[in-house]
Amino acid sequence: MNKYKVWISFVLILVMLAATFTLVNAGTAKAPEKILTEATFSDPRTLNPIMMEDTASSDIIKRCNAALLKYDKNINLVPYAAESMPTVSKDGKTITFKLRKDIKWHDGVEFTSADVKFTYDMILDPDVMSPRYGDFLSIDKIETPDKYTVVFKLKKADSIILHEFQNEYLIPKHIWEKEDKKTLKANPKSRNLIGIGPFKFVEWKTAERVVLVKNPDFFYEDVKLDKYIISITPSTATALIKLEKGEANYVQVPEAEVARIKKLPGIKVITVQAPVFDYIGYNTKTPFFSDKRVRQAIAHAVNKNAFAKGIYKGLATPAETSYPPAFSMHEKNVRTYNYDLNMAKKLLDEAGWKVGKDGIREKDGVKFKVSCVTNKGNVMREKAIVLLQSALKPLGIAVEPRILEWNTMWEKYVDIGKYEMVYGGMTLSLHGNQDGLWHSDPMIGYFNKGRYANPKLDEIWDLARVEFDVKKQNKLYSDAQKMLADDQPWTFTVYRTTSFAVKNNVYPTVYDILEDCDFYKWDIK
Amino acid sequence: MKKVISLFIMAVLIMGMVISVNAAPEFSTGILKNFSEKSVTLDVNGKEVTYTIDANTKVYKNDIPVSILDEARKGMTIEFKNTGNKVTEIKVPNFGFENSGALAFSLIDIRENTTDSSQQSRESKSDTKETRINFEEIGEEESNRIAYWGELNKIVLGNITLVPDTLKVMLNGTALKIIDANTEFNAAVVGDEVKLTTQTDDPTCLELLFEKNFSEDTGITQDKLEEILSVTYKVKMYKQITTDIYNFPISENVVVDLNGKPSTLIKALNWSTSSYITTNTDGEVIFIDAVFDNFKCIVDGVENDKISVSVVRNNKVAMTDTLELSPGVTVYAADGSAIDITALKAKDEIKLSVNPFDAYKVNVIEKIK
Repeated sequence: MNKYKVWISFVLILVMLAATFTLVNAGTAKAPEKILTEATFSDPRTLNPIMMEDTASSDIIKRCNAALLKYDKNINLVPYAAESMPTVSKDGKTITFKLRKDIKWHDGVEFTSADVKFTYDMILDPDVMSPRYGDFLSIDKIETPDKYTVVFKLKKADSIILHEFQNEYLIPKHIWEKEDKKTLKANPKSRNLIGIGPFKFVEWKTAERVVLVKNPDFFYEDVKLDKYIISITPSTATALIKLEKGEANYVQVPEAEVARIKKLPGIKVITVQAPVFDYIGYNTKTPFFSDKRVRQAIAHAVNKNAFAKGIYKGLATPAETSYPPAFSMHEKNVRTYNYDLNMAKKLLDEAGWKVGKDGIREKDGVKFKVSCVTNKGNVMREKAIVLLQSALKPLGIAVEPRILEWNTMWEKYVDIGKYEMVYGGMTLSLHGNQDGLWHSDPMIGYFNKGRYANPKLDEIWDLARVEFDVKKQNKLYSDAQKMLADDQPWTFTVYRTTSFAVKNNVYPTVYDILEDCDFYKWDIK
Repeated sequence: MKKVISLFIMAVLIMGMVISVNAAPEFSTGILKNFSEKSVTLDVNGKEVTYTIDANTKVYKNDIPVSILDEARKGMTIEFKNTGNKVTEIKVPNFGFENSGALAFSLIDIRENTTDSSQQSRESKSDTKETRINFEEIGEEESNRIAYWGELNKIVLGNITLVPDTLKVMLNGTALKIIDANTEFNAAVVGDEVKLTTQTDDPTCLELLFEKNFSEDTGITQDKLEEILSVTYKVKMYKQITTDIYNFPISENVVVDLNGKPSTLIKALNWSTSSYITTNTDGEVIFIDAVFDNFKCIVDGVENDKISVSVVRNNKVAMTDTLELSPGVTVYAADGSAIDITALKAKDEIKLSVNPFDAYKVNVIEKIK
């Protein structure tokens, strides 16, 4: 019996030891944390969603917050924090949202209609000085008949406002209602984000990093990453070095670096269509560019393939309209301008610009000598205006390719209309209405720096703004593109792309036009 | 009969002399592909031939006897005499330059922009790209440009190099006294001074600080402001010269076009002045689309929408080509005035550009002489 006892004891000890080992091994086998480290080169200015106006801030906010609506990959609006798409009254002046009932702020407090009303009331409060103020001016008042219903009463129909509801501006009433409205930006709470999005904010060390962790209670979908670190570096070059050294596994890559980064082992580069076009902008109030035939002539002399291949490293495509092809509003059947120097010369002759003895065209005693300005340090734009100079020389147009500091260019030249030509890029709103670019009313057409005016086009933008039928709206945008192609207030040169580099085991969600998005879907395998 | 025989013998002798004179070997030329103390391999009119040499082969350089092993270099065009398979005499030319280093293909892109602010010249380098930025002062420009940021006592001039003593400020028709950043406003007379200073967060950005608000209208626009305030000054202008050098390895299967026609890498390197390249995903150049851009040459003739040109190097015609003219071709005279293509004559010195996006046709010609 004693012998058996010894054996039993021995077996028990073995079983216990085996169990211990199993437990230890089970602990060791736990899946490693999925940590995405993104290297960027800019600190956010604020983490207060209603005060954000820079990309670095919005990049963090959109990872931590959500909105009533969102875009799907085809850029259609779909419900997000809203239970369904909102109902719109026949006169277009009442928009009613039903909210999901399963959403909590990151601090555990329930998200309700009171938060939505508080958010947009704050944005519209002049004391707050929110940069988003102008986007919601059509709102007259906001009603909350119950915890999960929000009714926006508009002063006039505004279809574009639906698209504004996909921006992640929502803020928690219980956090902000007692704060001084006039000092929101400086408020320490603006460095500590409480949202309803896929990641919870942990810390922000200026010029160093922002740390986010998975929100296990995210209402929309399971979040796959455990941690999201934004590593703030001094420059793009440093951000790329971090990727190369393995200190980051996600970074945005400028065009000039794509070829090099593609060669690095273990890294994949994903390039998507950006919602951006580059353009030659004309000041139509100068004697040089008031006649559309001159602008058309330049469009015939500028070879867009030369821009795409020679400047943008083959990562851009020639542009003919202000809507890149990935936009559903893109209209193919517009007037195009093939490379034709004879036609360009004919148009200039017709416009009264005759070749002078020195080879430079002149009209009414004015020589066709102009400058084209762009921002210093943007290598591709610096190169583009030199290419433009050589492209227009055979026409008898002398272009000085002038590069200026960013603020100087806008404030001393373009904003105040003291320029002839500008070479720039435009990031587009995805809602499609471009009245901000082209409307002749300066209060609406803020970016219409060339003071181009076409009353018929103004009418189209105004109609599109009150049109909720997407098909009818797209028809208006199609008409607008045809007019713009004929008028050439700007000559669109190329549609740009955006490239992202990630380690091979990172699976990001990036789509044409939307670029990087749906961060809850991102995974590391 | 004797006379006939004598004449015949004389004729035979004369013929023999002529034949022997003709039989003396002349100098030929060939490109030296390889050599040793026993043989030379030459490219003679595109055909590779190997001749033997020995101690009796005379080798000269500048008419002085030399050793072939010391003075010959592969690639030289040499003169030689041969008898059958043996070279009897060689003349080797001088060579120009010898050096060592890594061999690479570069795409060099130089651009010149004008700017109103200079920075220190700088260089940057990565494994595929090198950039050099230099500045050159090109003169002064009168300006009345200002930026108004909504502060009623402040005007921004921006990141410029102001020419000393050229700043003039007039407010409501009265000239204001300019004082420097370190001088205090004179409290005795309020409102007649303006301080030229720099922004605290950007010491290269100039601004004007007025002793007194220039308007009481807080909503004044810049247009309205410029009706009461005149700021004039001279600013130094610069040329920014940027050189981007892209370095890529070349694929051994690289396809090369010159002016839109199939060509060779050597010809593209030798004759083109601009090119577009395509690399594969490994970064190797797989296509070179080389063209003439501002290409110096001499007109041989213009006929039927075509121009024939040649290039003279070392007093020899080194290259000839016939190129199609674009229907929109622009031709400039030496003084810059536009002229008709028919004004170009043979022997005119020109610079021409072939545009790859205009079906590889010549679209700009500038007459030099």
